[in-house]
Amino acid sequence: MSMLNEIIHQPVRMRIMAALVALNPDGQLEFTHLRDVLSLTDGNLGAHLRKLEDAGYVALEKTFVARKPRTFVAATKKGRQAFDEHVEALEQIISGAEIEGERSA
Amino acid sequence: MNISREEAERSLQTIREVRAQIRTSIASGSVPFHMILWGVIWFFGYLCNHFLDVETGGRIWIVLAIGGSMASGIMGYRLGSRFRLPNSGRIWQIWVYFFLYVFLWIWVAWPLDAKQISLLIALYVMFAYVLLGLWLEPIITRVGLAVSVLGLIGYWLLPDIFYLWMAILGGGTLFGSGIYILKKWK
Repeated sequence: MSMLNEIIHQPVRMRIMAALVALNPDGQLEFTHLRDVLSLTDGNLGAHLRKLEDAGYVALEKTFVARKPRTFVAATKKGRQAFDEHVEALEQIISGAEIEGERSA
Repeated sequence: MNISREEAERSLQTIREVRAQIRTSIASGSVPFHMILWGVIWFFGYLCNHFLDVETGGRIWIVLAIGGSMASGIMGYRLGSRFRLPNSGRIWQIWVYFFLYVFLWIWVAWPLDAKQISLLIALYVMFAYVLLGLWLEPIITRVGLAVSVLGLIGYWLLPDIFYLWMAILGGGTLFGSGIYILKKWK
């Protein structure tokens, strides 16, 4: 049985991971685009990314595009695995509750 | 860590929504902006064809096509740089090959009159929209089919006002669809 992941379950971090996992493996999202899509501030997104990076779930790459500094974010293999397990745990809670409901009916 | 079924459902719903949002933003990329740009170009280009002589209209079209292609390239580069996706270079290759084949088809079919060239190019571009829509979003396919039908109706049934027809309906459909997609996907 999969376990809920406390780092990922935090609402903002869960949305960040959902966005990054939606990309193909090796796909990266630009920091400002991720910020806009999730309607976050720079500081808020940065703080949650640091937490995810510390856990090894995301990788940040700072680079230059057309001479402008850009930060690209990607989910790591470990992050994808942790996110998949978290989703599985959520699905198990729902299906478990359905079974409980059927039993009591 | 324990959560209720309702919270689990809400979390999964949020995940589904964010995934859909990201996929749409990748798929849409610069498409609505290209539609708006080329809607305006079609409008002015065909309007010139209607009111000016063939030669002047043709020259204006060349300027508009070169300017539009450059603007499209810059737009695609700027908006596409929000993502780094494996194999994203293939999309550029598809467009390069597509325009190469358009040129070859017209060259083989030559001689063509100005109206036939206009219709053929419009149909080729709309054919690309139809295919692109099947891959990305159904609305793009519907726009492609609608403009193709409008073009054919104008060519066969309204030859005297064909260019005006294409300016207002062809250009207008592209422009309007671009605005619609931009608002819908925002």
